[in-house]
Amino acid sequence: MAWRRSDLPLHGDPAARFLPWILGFLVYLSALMVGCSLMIDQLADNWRTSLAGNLTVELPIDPTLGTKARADRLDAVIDLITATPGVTGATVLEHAELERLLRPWLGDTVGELDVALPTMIAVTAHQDAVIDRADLRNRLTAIVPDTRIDDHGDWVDDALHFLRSMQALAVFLVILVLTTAAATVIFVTRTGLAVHQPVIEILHLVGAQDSYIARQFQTQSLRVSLMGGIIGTALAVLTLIAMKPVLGSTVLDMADMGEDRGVMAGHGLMQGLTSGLGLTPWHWAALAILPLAMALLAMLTARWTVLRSINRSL
Amino acid sequence: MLFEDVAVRYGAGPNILQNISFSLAPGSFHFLVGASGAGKSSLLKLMYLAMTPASGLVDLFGRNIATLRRQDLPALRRRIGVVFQDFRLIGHLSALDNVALPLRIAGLRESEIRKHVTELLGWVGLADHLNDLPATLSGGQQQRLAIARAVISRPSLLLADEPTGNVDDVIGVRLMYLFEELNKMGTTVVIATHNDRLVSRFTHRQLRIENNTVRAFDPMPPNSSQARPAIATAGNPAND
Repeated sequence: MAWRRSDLPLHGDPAARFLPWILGFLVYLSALMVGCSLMIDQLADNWRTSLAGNLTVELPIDPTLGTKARADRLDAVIDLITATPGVTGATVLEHAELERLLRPWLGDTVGELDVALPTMIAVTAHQDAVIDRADLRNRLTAIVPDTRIDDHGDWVDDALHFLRSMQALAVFLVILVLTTAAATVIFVTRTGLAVHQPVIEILHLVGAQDSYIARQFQTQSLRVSLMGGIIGTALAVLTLIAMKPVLGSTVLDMADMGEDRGVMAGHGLMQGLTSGLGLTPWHWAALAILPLAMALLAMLTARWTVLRSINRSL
Repeated sequence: MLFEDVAVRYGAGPNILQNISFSLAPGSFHFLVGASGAGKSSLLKLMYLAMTPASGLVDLFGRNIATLRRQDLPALRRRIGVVFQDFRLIGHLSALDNVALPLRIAGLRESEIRKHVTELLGWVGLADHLNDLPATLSGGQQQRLAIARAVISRPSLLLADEPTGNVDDVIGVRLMYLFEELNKMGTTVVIATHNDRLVSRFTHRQLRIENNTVRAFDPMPPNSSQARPAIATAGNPAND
């Protein structure tokens, strides 16, 4: 009964009239931040997965060796790598690819420079494979002294640290937005209490408990916050969908940065990064819960405000 | 209801009523009379738990109102029906919803509420105004609406502040009969009025406010021009 009708004309309050829009906007911001945070989470997982077990082997140049000796040595290295348990492939990067990676540092004239470039081998492995880097390095060093193995840990750590920072910022902003929403509900509820004081007094005098009056405010808050929340979430979902190409471009820039550091070329990093830029059904479900969470927050805040604010009248 | 040496004041101001002692037996009917501004409404406020005494004891339904906890108030107030002088109807609610308010707060089923409210509004002559807002009703109709809201839950105590002030004598007497009917069913009734003509038509006891205190009087004899004091001062509750 109390959900269908109200003894207090709260819907007509000037302050309350804007509440759905304010809460809708706040839910919109929250949904955007939650959506981005979930995307980042998904992205980080995909990065970890796509790079797990992958290595780059760098063979230094030995100018004393002839072409055939180098080729034989490279074959021996490839054979050793591909024979390692868990390894699924080893690809020698072409000279042109190496030049492309060096171009940001050495400029467009990199091809004209007479610089001896090391041989880079991109090694791919099963995601769950555990490769003993030290053992592999020892065996490779026996063939090519000073061989280096990079598992991209530094780059991945830096990138993940950046993503986690972004995620923490998003969580902080969501908390800030929810606090703002609660403060808005408190303000509107207190205004309503002041505006409707004469009616509240009548309700008290005919035997209404404080909880009866609180129920009127909390029902109104629930209704308007749910309405605003649904609209805000819907708009946020549309925005997230529209933002995906923009975010994809940003992520690809990051991928370029990783590749420019010359450690991950040839590992299908691009595919790993861009395929992570999306939300799973669970993430969409989490976004759908957001307006309900906001409605619950608004309802409980209104109730708390009324029960705390109603002064003892006797 | 028991008053013992009660004083009433607002804030830090002087006592507007003092040395008030009387009792109302369950099922009794009293007129509360006195000049305008004498303190009738203030005394009623004490009775309907809208204020506490500055000093003295007010005992209502066996409870000292000065020591009541906030959560105790709603249950006591549901036993009291009040007709306010300014009606205090809720402007955005229909006549039906205004009268239904005490029943809804008490948690009655909607079907029962509608049945009782419709019947009572018919009795007070507002059957054709169930869905009208108070602002569209005349002063007299609003007053009858306020009375209907006060009596709908068959309270143990009915307090009415000038309940016939905006109606003609015929309606006024009819409303008094309504109060008497309630009184016959066991409701204690206190009617605050300065309408001596109305008071003289009935033989109920009077609480008269004079010189900042309350004196109890026996009914005025039909051929007498002045009420006969029942007690020298209203200081002994047992005399009432």
